[in-house]
Amino acid sequence: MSLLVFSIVIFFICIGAGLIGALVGMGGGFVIVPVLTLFFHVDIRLAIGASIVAVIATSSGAAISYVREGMTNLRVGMFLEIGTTLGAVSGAILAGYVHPAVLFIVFGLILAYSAIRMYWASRPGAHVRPLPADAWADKLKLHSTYVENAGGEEKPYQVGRTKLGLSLMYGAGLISGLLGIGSGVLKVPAMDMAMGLPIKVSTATSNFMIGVTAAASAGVYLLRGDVDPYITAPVAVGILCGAVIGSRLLTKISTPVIRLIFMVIMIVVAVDMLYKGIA
Amino acid sequence: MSEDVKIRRTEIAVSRALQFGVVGSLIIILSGVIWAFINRVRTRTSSRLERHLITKGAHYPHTLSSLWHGLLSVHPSAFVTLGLALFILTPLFRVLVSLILFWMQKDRHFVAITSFVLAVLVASFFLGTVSA
Repeated sequence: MSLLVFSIVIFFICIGAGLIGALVGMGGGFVIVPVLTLFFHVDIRLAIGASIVAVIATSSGAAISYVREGMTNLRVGMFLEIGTTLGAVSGAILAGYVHPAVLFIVFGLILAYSAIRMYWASRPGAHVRPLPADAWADKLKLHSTYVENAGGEEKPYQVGRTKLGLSLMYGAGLISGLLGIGSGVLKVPAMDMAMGLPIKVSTATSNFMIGVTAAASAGVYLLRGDVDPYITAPVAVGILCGAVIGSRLLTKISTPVIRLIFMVIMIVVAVDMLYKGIA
Repeated sequence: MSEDVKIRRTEIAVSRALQFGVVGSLIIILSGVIWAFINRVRTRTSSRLERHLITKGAHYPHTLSSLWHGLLSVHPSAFVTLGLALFILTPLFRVLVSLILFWMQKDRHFVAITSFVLAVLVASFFLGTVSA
């Protein structure tokens, strides 16, 4: 396969990955790494290098419209980054001491549990109690408004259980540092279920956060020589285009559909993690 | 100015800064890639040789000095790498812009939070380079 064909095929696959990533608040590393290694026989190190740049592409591409529309809650995102970055650093330090198989199983179980809870809370007729706002959220002015559907009114929402959210973010960062994976899949439920943010705000805010966290590791990969320009360029450009399209679609897709897409991805990742842990 | 308007303004400024960074680095990446392809057509590189560019051990700049040399000798891969490096920096750029805006709004809590996040990111970058 010539380099031109490789670039074009990768570009188009990445448009899809970026689109989904922008909608659900994930970087899409779990799509890009297998595609590059299994179908194109790219070295795993170079595939991971490209996928970490893909996380930034999803984040930055989606952010352009999310931040402007007010979908991203920048204050919540920045505050929770304290937990994520600290968790990621502790995870990277501890990485040599913990057995990955155990972690994959733990991570898989947490995800499966979150997916079931999310399904339970969103089933038709479920009684959802709005969370009371907590003192931290008041003090840090985390409450905000968002437009759920294109052309609709601004809806206010309150943020609760801020401390629990921060601890969960530390956990999400810890897992991503230990296993070297993105943690958008854990960040969204922490914001959506624990802190009471609307799901669309959660995915948009998760998009903001994954980019910030990935930037430091991407710098490391780049200097280490794991970012091959001829592999990463079509990935980055494709993802970026997909993320821009995806972020425009978010207000046009209904909330239950977004939740459904997210739950399906959660189950897929959970099964994949459990399989990796057992195998 | 009300709190909401202030927050909204911050968000729009951050979005603009980000757009600028993304579009700028994208232009550099794309021009490098297109240039590389034009070069290959001109020199009629075989697809086997091309394949070598995306396998382990391929030569491309990845240190600051090799990037600098690549740029001076006008090598397309150096331009793609430069664009990617700038692209990688966009989220940090965004954090930096937010920090300045929080500072201007005299939001002490968020100046402290944002500086802390930035410090941990910089620290983790150096931790990563040391262990690599």
